[in-house]
Amino acid sequence: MRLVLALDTATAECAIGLGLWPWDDQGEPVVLGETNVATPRAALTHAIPVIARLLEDCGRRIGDVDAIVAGRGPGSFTGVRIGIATAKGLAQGLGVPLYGVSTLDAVAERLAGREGLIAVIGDAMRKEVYPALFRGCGGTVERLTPDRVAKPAETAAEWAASLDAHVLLAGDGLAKYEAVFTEALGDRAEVARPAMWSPTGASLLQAAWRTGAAAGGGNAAGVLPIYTRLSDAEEAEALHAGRPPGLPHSGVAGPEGERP
Amino acid sequence: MRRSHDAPIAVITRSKAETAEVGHLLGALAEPNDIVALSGDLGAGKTCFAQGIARGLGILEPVPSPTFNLLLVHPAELTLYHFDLYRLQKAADLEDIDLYGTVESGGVSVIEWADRFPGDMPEDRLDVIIDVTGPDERRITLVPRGARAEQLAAAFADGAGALV
Repeated sequence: MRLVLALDTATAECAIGLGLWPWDDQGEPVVLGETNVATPRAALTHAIPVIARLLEDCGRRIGDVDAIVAGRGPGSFTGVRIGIATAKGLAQGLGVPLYGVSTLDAVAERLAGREGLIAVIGDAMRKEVYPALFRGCGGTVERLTPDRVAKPAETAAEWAASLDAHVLLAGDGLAKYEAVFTEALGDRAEVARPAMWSPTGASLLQAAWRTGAAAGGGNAAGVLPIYTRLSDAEEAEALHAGRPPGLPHSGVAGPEGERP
Repeated sequence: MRRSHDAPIAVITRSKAETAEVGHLLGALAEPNDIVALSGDLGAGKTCFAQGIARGLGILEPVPSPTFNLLLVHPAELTLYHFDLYRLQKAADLEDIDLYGTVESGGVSVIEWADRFPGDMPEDRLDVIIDVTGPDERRITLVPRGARAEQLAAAFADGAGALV
């Protein structure tokens, strides 16, 4: 089994997990431990000490880590950058593979026991959200829509018109826009407990495993932040540096329409 | 210092100290996530006004101009996020410096050169325009944009009455 360290700082919650992954896809992954702490705008100062403590609690050392998983957002611009930069630094320093997973997948993963539609609504600031639909089935979740940025009222209206089944809502965007979605969806909407709105160390590990992250090459250069609202600095930098093959034109993952 | 009667809320100051005093009054009234968008020519006193806001927030450390840093953070009970957009080239740069995430993070944000990107400033904000009306005289005009900014401006107007 491989020792895998997962981290996500895209939301106000700093989520760190430590687990074991089978070398092939025959076995089942195991979560050894996790630490999830609210560190609004302070992930930079907390992530590394939290990782060190979790490793110690699990009787492991940083040098034992065989792979890193990073939450790629979407979420807070600064938070996503801190998470990706920290993960890349660790992966490079340790000489181990780095795998990426969408922060929204890790939120949906927390509701994996539920059957039916799951809507994750991340806070995109600026009166916008990151909405994504998933389907819970047989203890796992399947993603139905890609990461994007949208207006809460427009998304709610769109879902009210297109979804004809019960929808479980989660995500930190609900802190501001819960009423927008519950009013539009009416009886169909059920709101998950706020404690279920953020990714956790365990859900990151599980979502990364479910989405087949481990099947990728683990090339740290290929793990990109998901901004959805395109970041010009990142774009210019990627173009300037000459982007690695197979990466989006912008060097930044985002919706097709927003790529130059 | 006197209240002028023509503009919605305007105050005339006759020295840097008075400009800072007006900022001090505004800072003392600020609440979490308040945004003050400052505009005015070079040397009008934007940073001086921001320094007053910092004092009003109980911040005692020096508050230098953030022109080169783009953002300087002064931690306090209400943390001051002091932006300067002078060096930014285009509105997309505002995302790169995480302006929108920062202004919603529970502190008080003061944005110098906000008029460089008028269409891209956060919606609920208090615009503060500093006009140079004489060698030492400034007219400071408050234009609220949004519900919370209206409240803040009204509280300021009440307080400024006492300064006349």
